[in-house]
Amino acid sequence: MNIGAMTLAEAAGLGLMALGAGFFIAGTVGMLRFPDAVSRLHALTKADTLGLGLVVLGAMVMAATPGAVLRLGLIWICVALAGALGAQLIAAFVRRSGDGSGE
Amino acid sequence: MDPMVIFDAGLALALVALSWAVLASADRFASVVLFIVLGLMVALAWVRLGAPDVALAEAAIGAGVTGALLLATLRHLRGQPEAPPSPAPVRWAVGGMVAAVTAALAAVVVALVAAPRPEGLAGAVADNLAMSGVEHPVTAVLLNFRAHDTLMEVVVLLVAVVVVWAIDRGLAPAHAPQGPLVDLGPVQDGFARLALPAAVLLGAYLLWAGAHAPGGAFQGGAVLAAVGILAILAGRWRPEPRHRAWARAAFGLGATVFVLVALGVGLGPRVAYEYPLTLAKPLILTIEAAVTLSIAATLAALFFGREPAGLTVPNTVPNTVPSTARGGRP
Amino acid sequence: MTLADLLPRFDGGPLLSVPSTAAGLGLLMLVLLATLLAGLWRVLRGPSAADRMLAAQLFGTTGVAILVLLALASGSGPLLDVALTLAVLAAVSVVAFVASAGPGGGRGQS
Repeated sequence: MNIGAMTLAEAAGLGLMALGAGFFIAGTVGMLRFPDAVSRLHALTKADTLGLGLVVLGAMVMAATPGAVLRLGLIWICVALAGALGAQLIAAFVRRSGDGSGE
Repeated sequence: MDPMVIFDAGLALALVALSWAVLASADRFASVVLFIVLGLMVALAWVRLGAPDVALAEAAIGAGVTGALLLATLRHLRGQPEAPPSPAPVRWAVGGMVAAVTAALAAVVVALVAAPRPEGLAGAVADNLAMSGVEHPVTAVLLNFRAHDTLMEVVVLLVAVVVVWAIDRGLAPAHAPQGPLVDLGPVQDGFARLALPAAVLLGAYLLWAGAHAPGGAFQGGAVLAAVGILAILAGRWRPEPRHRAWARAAFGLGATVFVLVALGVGLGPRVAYEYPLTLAKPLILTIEAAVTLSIAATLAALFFGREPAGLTVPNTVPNTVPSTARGGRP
Repeated sequence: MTLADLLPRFDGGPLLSVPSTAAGLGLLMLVLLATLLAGLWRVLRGPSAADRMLAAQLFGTTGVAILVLLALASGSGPLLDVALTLAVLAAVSVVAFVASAGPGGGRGQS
């Protein structure tokens, strides 16, 4: 990789995205290793909001056209809302059906 | 080594492995989830192949319509025993056929790699793009150069929904879904209030973008269909018998406008779909808007799966834990 | 300045092209694809329907992230529209799952 040719914005963007990818790794490890469905849900929502949030932020820094920034912001808002809703629905489903909760 | 080569190889392997897993999984629900994931991977593959239009359609259909359709199908199948495996001769015959098709495709692919790259029609499309009325080559092909093909696809969708409604008339009582829909609670309600208008906006945007960028009637219609599906699932809208006239009008609108434009153009000195240059863009946009509405209504109706004709309305059960159930839990 | 002057800037035309970071973006995409493949184990194993569904939800988000990176690496604006479509429809599958699972359907199906 040619670090020298990067501008400050590109380096910052890549750094933010790498941090975001770290959250995706953490989320996947949590999903694989946590003992029950409710804890796994916990791992999922971190990757959803923080991981994608950082990737989107890095992308905004790199591609500073208004159209791209607008779309990236909308993408993050939609996924964060969907993640929150999905986690809540699945958690209620787990309680209702009584599986995976370890109670 | 270029990381994208490894990425493509991983994606290709994942596609094959996922396809196998979908078919081989013994658990119906696991199959459905794997199929949803497969749709996502296919969308990524289309992007890597340089076909963002197809990726957009796959994303809208795969994320919005197919998953919901298959999960609703599981609800219909609940409580029914798994079908017994087909007899051995049938399985061997099917396996042999699949192997033959695969071998033939492999031979074609190998031959294509060796053969000189054919000219294709991309040059012809690019040369005539200025006469098409739109700036995006895919839309120019779909709505102008090969408009007949697109008309036939719209008619196929129309026939599909007609058949679904007709079948349902024969076996309505037995066909009613087993088990009530779940009441999703206040969080879902708040989400739907935000997400439904946002998705309507996205559908309209994709339709508009189709004139000069990837997008268009099918992608916009699929997103709007997902709006209808979400509204039905969330209980915000329930199809009723009195909606049938509107539904029929929406199903037929796309094909009707498409044919009327052909007749209008064809009755003059030109052949069908040989639009006059000044009218090409308005005509294409008119057709696309009508087809978008038809696709949205048709896909949503296919998800609902039957004519809304005075069936017993399933009552709902709450997704939250009722206090009585909580007390009775061990 | 009229509205028409403003509109083309939102047209999904080429983004700022960043070739010097292409290798870095490619590596990040590889990492994300690897998490996706590793996560498939949870879909295959379950054990409950809820586990499988939450894995699918995570994959949707990962797919959106990969698409954002692909859009940057290729400088192609329309790919952001693909990502946006996935993002707006991200909740449909989960809603369909919970709505049609029925009471106690988690164990009945798996």
